Amino acid sequence: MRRTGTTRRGALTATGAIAMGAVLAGCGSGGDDESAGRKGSARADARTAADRSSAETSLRVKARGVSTSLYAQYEHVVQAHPATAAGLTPFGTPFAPTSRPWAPATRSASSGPGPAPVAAAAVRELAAAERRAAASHTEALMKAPPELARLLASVAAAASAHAYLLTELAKETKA
Amino acid sequence: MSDDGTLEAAQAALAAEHATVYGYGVAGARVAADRRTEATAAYHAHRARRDALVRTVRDLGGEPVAAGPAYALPFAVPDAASAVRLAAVLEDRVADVYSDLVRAAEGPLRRSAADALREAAVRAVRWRGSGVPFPGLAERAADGSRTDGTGDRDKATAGRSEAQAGTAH
Repeated sequence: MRRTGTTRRGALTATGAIAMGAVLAGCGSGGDDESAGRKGSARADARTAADRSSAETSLRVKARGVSTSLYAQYEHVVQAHPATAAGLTPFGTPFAPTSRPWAPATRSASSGPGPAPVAAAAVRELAAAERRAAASHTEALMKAPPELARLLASVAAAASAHAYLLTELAKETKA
Repeated sequence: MSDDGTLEAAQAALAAEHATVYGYGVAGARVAADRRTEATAAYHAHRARRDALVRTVRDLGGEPVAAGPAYALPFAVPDAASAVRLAAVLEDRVADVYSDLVRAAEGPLRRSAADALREAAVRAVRWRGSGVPFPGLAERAADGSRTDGTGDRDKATAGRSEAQAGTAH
C-alpha cells in the first residue's frame, strides 16, 4: 500500500501487549477501587466492596491472560518466520534473536528472498488475534468498575489499531 | 458514577468533537489527493459522533455545548504533511475524552464511547503509520510516544484560530 515504510516502522504491536500486561498486573490488588464504597465503610459496604474487588480481579486476570497469549502468538510467529521480526518489533528488544544483532527494517526489506506467503498468513492470523483481543476487552469493560473500564477501553483500542497495522503489514509481506 | 459526572464527560466529548470536526475542515482541505477520501470519511464520522453526543447530552438533561466559532490549531498547517499530522493529533485528543467518558458512563453510552475510542485509535494509526501503547490515556503517554504537543489538549477546545481556512460547518 501507499505507506510502505511507515507501516513497518509502526507495528509496535507486541510492546503494547507487554506494557498492558504489566499495567494489569501492577494494579491487580484492588488498588484503584477508591471509586466506590470507600467512604461508607459499614460492614455491608465492606462486603460488597470485597465482592466487587474480586470481580474486578477476575476481570484483570482474564485480560492479562488475553494479552499473555497474544504475546505468545507474536513470539511463535517470529520464531517460525524470522523475516517478520523487523516489522513486528521496530524498536528491538522483545523478539530479537539473541544470537544475532537486530536487523534494521531497511535491510530486511531489501536483502534476502523476502518473506514467504506463509509469513503473510501468519501475520494475518496475528491481526485476527488482535481483533479477538479487542472484542474480549470490550466485552470485559462493560462489567468493569470505572477506572478499569477506562484502561480496558484503551487496551481494546490499541488492539484494534494493531490489527489494522498487522493487516497492512501482511499486505506488504505478501508483495 | 454520578449523572453529573456522566453529563460532564459527555459535554467534554461533545466539545472535543466540535473541535475535531473543525480541525478536519482544515486538514481535509490540505491533505494530498490520495488521502482525501480518508479525510472526508473521518470528517463525516466525527460529525456523526458529534450529533449523537448532542442527543446524549439532552437525554442526560443538559444543554449541549455549542461549537466555538474557530479553534486554535496546535501548529501551522500549511501543507499536506502537516495536515496529516494534524489529523493524527485530532484523533489522539478525541481519544482522550472518550476514555474519560468510558469511565464516567455505563451501559450503552459506555459501549459507544469505547467504540469511538477504538475508531479514533485506528484512524490515528492510519494517519501516523504507528500506534501508541495506550490510546486515550494521556497520563501514560509521557514516554514521548506522542509528539506534536498533544499533552495540552485544552488548546483544542479554546481560543481563536489563526487558521486561514477551514469552515467546517
